[in-house]
Amino acid sequence: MIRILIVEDEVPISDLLKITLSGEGYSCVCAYDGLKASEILAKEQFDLVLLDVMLPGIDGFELMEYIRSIDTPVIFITAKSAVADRVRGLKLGAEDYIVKPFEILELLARVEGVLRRHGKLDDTIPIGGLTINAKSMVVLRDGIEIPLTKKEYEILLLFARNPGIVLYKSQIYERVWGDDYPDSTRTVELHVQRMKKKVGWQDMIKPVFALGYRLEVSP
Amino acid sequence: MSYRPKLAVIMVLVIAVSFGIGGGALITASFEASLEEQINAALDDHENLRERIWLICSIAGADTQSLSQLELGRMQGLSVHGTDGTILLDIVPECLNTGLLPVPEQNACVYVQREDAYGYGLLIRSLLIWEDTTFDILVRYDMSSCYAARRIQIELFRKIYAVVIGIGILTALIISWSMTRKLKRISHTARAIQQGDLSARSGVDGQDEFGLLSQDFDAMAESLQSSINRIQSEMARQEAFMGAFAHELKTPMTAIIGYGDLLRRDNLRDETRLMAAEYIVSEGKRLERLSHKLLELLLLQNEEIQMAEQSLPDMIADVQAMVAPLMEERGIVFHCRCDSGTVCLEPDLIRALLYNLLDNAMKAIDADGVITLFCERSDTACRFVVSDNGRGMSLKDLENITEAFYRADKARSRKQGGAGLGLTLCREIIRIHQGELHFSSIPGQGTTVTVTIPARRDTE
Repeated sequence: MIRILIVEDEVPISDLLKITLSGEGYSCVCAYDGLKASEILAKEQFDLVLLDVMLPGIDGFELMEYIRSIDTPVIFITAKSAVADRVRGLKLGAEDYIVKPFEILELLARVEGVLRRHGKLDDTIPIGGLTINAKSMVVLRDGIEIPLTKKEYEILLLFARNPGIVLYKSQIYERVWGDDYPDSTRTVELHVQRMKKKVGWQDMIKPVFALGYRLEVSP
Repeated sequence: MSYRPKLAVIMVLVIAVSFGIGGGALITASFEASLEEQINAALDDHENLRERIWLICSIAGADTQSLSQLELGRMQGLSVHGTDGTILLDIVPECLNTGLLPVPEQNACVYVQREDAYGYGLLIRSLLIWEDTTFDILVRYDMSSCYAARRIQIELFRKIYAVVIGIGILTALIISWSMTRKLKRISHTARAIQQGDLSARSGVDGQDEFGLLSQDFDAMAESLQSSINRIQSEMARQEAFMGAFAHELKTPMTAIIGYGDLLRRDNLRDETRLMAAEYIVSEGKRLERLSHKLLELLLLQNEEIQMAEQSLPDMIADVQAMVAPLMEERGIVFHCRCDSGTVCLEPDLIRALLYNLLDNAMKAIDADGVITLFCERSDTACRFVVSDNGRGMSLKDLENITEAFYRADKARSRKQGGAGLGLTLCREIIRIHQGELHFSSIPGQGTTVTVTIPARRDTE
């Protein structure tokens, strides 16, 4: 099981991260200040550290220097959207960053991305009769490749990573198009329809009210 | 044209003109005096000559031979003619020219000055009657020495003039330089300030106009610098406040958005769902508290505060009534002592101030708490002292506690529902009352807060 250390002094946010990541099957440990985090890191092995920058005791940047020495990937969380802070974090060897406030899909995608880059996650996702290779971006059904556009592939991946969960159209749009959701657009519907047809998931992706979709796969 | 060369040129011109006119007048006057003297001498000599001719004629007869014993003496040329045209005597006749002079009256003489190849000369002509003969006498005197003297004088004057003008130019430059040097320094300083060096000063000494200008200028720069520094530090504080404020906002925002996002994923257990809802409510309340405190702070900064004489014991009784139940609830012993008298203040604000300080004291206490509130009234000031036997703070915390959103113990402050603005609010209230705020604290033993405000206010 993948082990993640959450270093965050705000209890509500720390809990939020823990609930979210545990729900995805990660094992989480929380530390509420820098000193405690370094003690835990000295004793235990982790696959990923989520690190808040503003910490009492030892601050996030100092802690990052220490974590670099034990070669564990770091995603830092910062309330400051200041570019200088992000640059400093990345220069110190962080893999990625998340700016508060964040959405759960974004958090999960970044966590997965970093874990995959470090080979901690399997590159292939077997789901609903498909085999998705996240590294080569190839989708296979019974060994035969299904040709998809980039947007279709990204939507497919989003569903594959969040099975059984409602994905709102606005979320899909924001994740895949990377933009704010426009008020009236059928782009998401059209892409989802086409993707469903191509991979043969007509029965498995179900609309939830008029708001979004859910991928239902038998376990 | 800048002031410096202008000043120098004017000074040099004045010297040149006045010295030139003065020198010229002097030379002319001296020349004219010496010329007149020479003419008079020549006329005297001429008179002598006439007497001598008369004497010679009386002794030796009026003929050429007897007259030839006359000598030129100071004369350049001499001719004696008879009126009938007979030439009796002609010495150096070529320098004489009868035509220039009219025929004079008897026993009188006429003269004229003339310049020719023989130099400057004075021609004198007169008629001399001896028995029945009339002599026409024409003589010439050399006046060159007079002119030569003038030329020498002019020559000398030119040299002196050149030297004087040279000295004049030098003096003018030095004076104008020394005067404008001070102005230049002030102007340099102004430019330095314009380019951002606010600490530049001209520093010209002296009690003259330039010195005074420099002092005034420096005083202006001084006050300018201090106001700019004040504005800059104010801006830095504002910026720090905005940064801290953004951070304060981000945390509850992140929690609310995150938990809301979590709730709309529909694979949650009931337990988690409840927890998420709980967090959304509590973080929302935190935001509400924050906005409330912020509003209070804003009102303090904008509103006109009306101060009035207020009975001290009455006000303290109010505060005591407000906090006593809370103290009892937590098992804290509360001592309160208050001097009698009145103080000029805004009662609501001071009540809020005391409430905030007492609230902080309560929050600092873990167990067996004792809190005291003293209120002392002296002739000039009123002092409020709040002390507790709680956790106390380190020196570093003491320096920062009135900064917005600073918390000595972040985790605890959250639990107790602090917005991180209480002491910022207190500081503002004290500023409005022109008072002072002082903290002393020993970690583990307690904190004492002293607020001093002036008892009377000058009615402006």
